[in-house]
Amino acid sequence: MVLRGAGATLPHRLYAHWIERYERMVPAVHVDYQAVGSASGLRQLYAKMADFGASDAPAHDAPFDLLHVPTAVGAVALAYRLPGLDAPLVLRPTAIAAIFGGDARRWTDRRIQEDNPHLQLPDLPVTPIFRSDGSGATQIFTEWLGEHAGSKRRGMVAHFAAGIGARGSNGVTAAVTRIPGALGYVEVAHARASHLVVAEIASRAGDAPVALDDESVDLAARSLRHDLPLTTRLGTNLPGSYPLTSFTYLLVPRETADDGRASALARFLFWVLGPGQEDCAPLGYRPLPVAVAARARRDLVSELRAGSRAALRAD
Amino acid sequence: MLRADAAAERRRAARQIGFSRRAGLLVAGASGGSALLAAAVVAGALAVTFALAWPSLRAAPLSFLGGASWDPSTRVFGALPLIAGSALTTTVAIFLASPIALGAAFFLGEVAPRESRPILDAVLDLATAIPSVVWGLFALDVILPALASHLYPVIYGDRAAEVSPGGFGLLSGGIVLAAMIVPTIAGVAREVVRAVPDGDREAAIALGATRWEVVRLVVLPPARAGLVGAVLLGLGRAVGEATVMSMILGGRAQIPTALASPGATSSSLLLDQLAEATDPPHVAALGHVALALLLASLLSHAVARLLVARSTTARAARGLP
Repeated sequence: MVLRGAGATLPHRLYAHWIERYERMVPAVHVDYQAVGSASGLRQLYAKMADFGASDAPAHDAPFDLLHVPTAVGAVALAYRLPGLDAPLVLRPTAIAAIFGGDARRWTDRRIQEDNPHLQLPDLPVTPIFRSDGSGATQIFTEWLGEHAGSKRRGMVAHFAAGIGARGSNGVTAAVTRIPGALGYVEVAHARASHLVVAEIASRAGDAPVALDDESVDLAARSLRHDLPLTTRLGTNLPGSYPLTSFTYLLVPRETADDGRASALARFLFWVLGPGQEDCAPLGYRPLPVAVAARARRDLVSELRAGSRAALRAD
Repeated sequence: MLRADAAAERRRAARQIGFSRRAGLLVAGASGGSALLAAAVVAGALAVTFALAWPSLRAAPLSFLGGASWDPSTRVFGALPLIAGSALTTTVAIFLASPIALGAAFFLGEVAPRESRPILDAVLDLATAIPSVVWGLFALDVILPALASHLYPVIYGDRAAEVSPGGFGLLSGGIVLAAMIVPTIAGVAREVVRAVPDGDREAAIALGATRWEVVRLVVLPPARAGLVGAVLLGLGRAVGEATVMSMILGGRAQIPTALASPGATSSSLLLDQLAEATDPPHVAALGHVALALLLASLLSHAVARLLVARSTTARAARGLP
């Protein structure tokens, strides 16, 4: 039996690892995941050419009911290249919006300096680096900026007024490492792998800046909001939680025909939400908080229907 | 006895003729079918692109091309930034590449000693085969930093890092494209030059022409159309190049303020955005850009082939040695 999935490129390594492990355990099931990008994956899912999709951001425009299954916790880092600084850079939404909007052109700009009284910022031009191709990271970044700095541009493809658009996370990494004074947003897995220097972030005026590390991401992940519609980001109000944290989702149709595939997929997801979670950390993600994984498992049982019966049955 | 042999002979001959007639039909059918298939693929590509672009075509077929702003998040789509980007990069590329390529072609076609030609030809053909991604990596690691540290400070002075951060931008794109299309243009131009019959050259020398007069009076006139065709083929490749452009242009779909500013071309934008676009107006606008690009490419390619054919077959058709 072949289950077809298509979607986001970033979790590809994680999903490939899960698939490989699961197929060894359950040889009868073969999962074929194509990392074609969140939007392409959704298109295939809506056209019923894929059994599940994968996206860093919730899908709001599906033609049929989808269950969003969180599978791991990821975060978006703000990486920069400023040689000679002896402490991490601190950034707040106003400064970031000014940079990406083209208003703050040099690192000595008042808005950036305000957030960093402890640093002697060099007089270099700021080059914001954004994703020229669509990505979940752009969605997370723009939604956060939209909520805290009022910018209008949101979505997977964002048109920024300044800087360089780079292709893929690799492109952003390449640009940040090559251009002095660059500032780019990139998934934490890439930032860690390339040893990029990342900024400390604070969402609101009175918040203390938070460094990007396992604890701050885990803290953010634990403050999930259980209401629908799903938001991209998690609660940012806990002190010490990293604001640009989000789940990455697998999207599954709630109602499918009763041909065994829905059950097989549900069982695979059930495993991902259990034993699979231990694979997250080595691959640059954080595992889901226990409560979130448990709730997601309950949803698999109660929400997925194959034909007239539940897809996931005790057997 | 003899008659039986003769009859057997005739039957065998008849079978052979039948076989070769069938073989002939088979070959004709297969090659004709392949040609039809190729034409069908082109027609299919046109049809699919047209269908994709239809919502945008229906709304604003021509004013779309003049729209100055491309912003998916506010659903404002205008193709002018992309047309400007494509025009700028290809113009720079053709400007830089043509003299070099045509010079190389003349060298290979006229000047180079005959013994060296096979090797030099092979080197040129290899250069045509370098994959785009390899060019992209070479550009990122070598060409862009070199431009950023040596060329742009000369042109822009202190503003160089602001105009073209890290060397990313349209001028860099044009320069890299020039390097990529030199082999393409030179290869075709070389054949065009070689297609001029040696007999003509010899006749001119016999009449007392100098080396340069031979080139000017005997080689250039019939080759001229073909050389233009070679340049047009290079232009076609330049316009279509997406991978390298996506890596080094700086992905900004806006009308450039300076030659070296970041920008985007039609091809690089399609590569960046088509796979991820879900919003129907966005997809239709991308289809519209794709259609314009496809038609422009087909047109320039057709004209190029026509011109090259005129040069290489014209003299043969006139029956000259």
